[in-house]
Amino acid sequence: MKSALRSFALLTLGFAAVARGSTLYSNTTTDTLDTFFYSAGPWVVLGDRIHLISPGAASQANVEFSNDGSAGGTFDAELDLFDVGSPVVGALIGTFDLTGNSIGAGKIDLSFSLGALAVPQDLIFTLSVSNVSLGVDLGVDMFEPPTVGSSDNSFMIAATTLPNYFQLGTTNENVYFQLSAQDVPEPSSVALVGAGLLIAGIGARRRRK
Amino acid sequence: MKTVVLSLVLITAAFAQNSTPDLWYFQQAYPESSSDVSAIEAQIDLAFSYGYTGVVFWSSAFNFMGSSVFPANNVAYMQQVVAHAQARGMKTTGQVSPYGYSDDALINNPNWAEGAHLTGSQFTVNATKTALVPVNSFGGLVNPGFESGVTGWFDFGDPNMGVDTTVFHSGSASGYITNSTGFSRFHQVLNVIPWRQYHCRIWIKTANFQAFGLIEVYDPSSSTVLFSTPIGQQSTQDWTALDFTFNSRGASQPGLYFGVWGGSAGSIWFDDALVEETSLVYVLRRPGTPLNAYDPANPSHVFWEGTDFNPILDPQLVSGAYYPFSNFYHTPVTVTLPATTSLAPGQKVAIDYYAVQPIAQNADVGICLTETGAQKWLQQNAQAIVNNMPGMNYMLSYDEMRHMDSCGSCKAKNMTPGQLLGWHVTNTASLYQSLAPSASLYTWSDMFDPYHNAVDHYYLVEGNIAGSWAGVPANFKIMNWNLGNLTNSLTWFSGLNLQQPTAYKQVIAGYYDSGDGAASATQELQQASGIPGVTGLMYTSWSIDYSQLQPFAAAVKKNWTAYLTSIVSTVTPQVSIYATGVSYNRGTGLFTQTVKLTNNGAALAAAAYVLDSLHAGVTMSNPSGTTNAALPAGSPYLEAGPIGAGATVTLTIHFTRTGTPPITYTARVLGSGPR
Repeated sequence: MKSALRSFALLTLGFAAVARGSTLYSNTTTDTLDTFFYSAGPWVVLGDRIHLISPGAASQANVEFSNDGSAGGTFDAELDLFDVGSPVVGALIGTFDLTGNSIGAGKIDLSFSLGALAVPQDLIFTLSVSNVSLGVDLGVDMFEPPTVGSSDNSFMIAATTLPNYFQLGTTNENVYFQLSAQDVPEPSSVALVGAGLLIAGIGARRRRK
Repeated sequence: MKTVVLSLVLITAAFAQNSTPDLWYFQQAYPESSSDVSAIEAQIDLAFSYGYTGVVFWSSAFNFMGSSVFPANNVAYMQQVVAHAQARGMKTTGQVSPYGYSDDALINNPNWAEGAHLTGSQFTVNATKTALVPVNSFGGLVNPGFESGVTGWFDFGDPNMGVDTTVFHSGSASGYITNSTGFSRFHQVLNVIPWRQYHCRIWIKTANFQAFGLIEVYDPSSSTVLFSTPIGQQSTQDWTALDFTFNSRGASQPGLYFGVWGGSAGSIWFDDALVEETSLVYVLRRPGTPLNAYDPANPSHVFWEGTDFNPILDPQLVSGAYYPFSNFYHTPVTVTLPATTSLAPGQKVAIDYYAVQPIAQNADVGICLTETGAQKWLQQNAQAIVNNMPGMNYMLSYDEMRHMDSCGSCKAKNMTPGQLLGWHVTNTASLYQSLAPSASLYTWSDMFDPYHNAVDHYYLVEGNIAGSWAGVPANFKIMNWNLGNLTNSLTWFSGLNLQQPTAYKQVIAGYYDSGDGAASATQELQQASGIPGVTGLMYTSWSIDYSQLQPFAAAVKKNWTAYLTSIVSTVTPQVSIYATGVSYNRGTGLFTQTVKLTNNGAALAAAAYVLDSLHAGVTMSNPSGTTNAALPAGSPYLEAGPIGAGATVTLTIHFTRTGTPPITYTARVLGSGPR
């Protein structure tokens, strides 16, 4: 019973802390050195299914590409976000474009501004590229499982032509992706913080008896 | 680098078969002069012109290498003929390590022969206290000279035989067989003491006799042939004695048989049959074959060799004696006594010892698998062979091993004969692989084949040879000569039998002096139909007859495609294929894909994942090979090993590519069979 109380307290404290942060999902810590190149498929889109630490108002998405071709030129990138709770194609919740991105050798990091997009906790994101300069070979980078949020670590989606998605099994790696939220604390979160502290205090008193 | 897939990657060698067969022949070679070399080289050239791609050399020269007792002569000549074959690109293999027909090795020390124990042979100290006199416990044959008519010999009631009172060696009669229409056998039960040595003699005369004549001592209670030899008579000969010994082993009432099996023409007479207990014929003296003498009335009272009696040694069994086991009987050594002996006249002495029982008709004798001296010889011999003959491959000659697991040294291993043989072949393989890592190793099939000689109580083997196959390394190639049961034997070594799951590559050691090379090769390949793993055939002649080399080769080539076609096996429909996308690792520069194969059907002894229609610029960098027989040809494949029913195996495939072509392909899965 004491351990159950302790766990509840810790969970509550953890939830409260994140609710006050700005990152909803991130797996950008450890690079696996793997890249999925569009040309190798050939893929039209590449993406992943992810579980955010909470629903929220997403303001920014960071992605990472790699170029294995010649440097120079530009390309356009498109980020699509889907709600998993509905059929994928019918649940598009946002499309964002970055055009004229410069191409260097190796990694190319892009940041999409999402405004204050309301996102559910379970998302699918896909990335597609177009208008790629000749000689460029682009792919999305794969990183270790997320440090914020979660994923099943064996799931990545890609498509050759929409809407026919394919499931591709991988293990312990995910497409590089970071989703940030506006820093707006909610009243319910504040209340939960208080409840967590209270329960933690009860547990401490019982241990002293 | 982060590994994309955690699952075990299975990459195993299996049946990557050639579109063209291994076409070898068995070349007898013991060159002792430049003209011998020329003759062998001419034979090699002839075989090469017929399309032969390999030579297996049958030469005692290999067995004598490294011996200080009987060193190999003319090694340079042997090197010359081997180099001659190698210069033509032919694969060269030496038959080495003669286990079974071991005379070449036993020249170094005949006492390394494997021998069975004899227990309680009895002697009496003579009146002058100078020697031990053997005691003959055998009560005598009934009617040994046929003077008493049909008494004692005719219990089978076979026809075309009887008693002849006009022809005899001594006395007034003999037994005869004339124009037999089938079985005509003389037979008499012998009352003997188990594990004693007996001497038999019978006189034989023939007149225009043509038949398969045989003399045999057989124990029906254990189904053991204690002795057997064809009657090596001439068609017409005067009275000639045939002598042999046998160890009664566990038998107390074996039968003595002689006569005709399968009909005859002309006449043969037998007379003056003799059976007596003897002792010490081919007595073995080595650590694993101890000799103990004692008072039979008080076995704890032992007599000492060198003190109570002089050392016992069969004079035929001395180092350097050329083919010491050349007869089935010779006068046994007389045990002499020193002046200082404690033995008294009339004292009974029992002796336990070990002796060799040569196997007719070649007086075959096997070498002990465990004796330290023999093991040391094996190492010296292997080292000398590898040093003298670089670039060769080696065929270990475990073949018709009719003596095994009998001596004290072998018994001390506490293994079955099969385990003992398996242990030995594993060690010998390790020895050769350590000395010649790049050499391929082979062995004859019979001692590892339950459809052939890997059976219970094969000849004089004391126990079951089953299980010997477990010791044969998976990278061995089997030289299969079980031509009488070829389909079952080839299947056995193909790994398709759960009792022997290793998928060996095999060469059919065919022909075997059938007289018709084309028919032999054709039939042998037909019997291999549908059985994976056969890589070719070897023309095998033991009578040094190369007249059928060309038709044999032509028939092999003609029928090879049919064989390959018979065993190509596509199992794609029964396998679910789950392939990931292809990721590029920036650390290794390789593209990687994970493929999971789930077998939805019956168990597959072998499987291979084939990648057809890869785009130009894409190369699979870790293939097991490329398809040849399994069309389309040229597709890379990865062996997946066996996949049990319902089981899944995971493969990791690596690619490199030039440019940016997509890394896509059409997948198929092959089962057992050529690739």
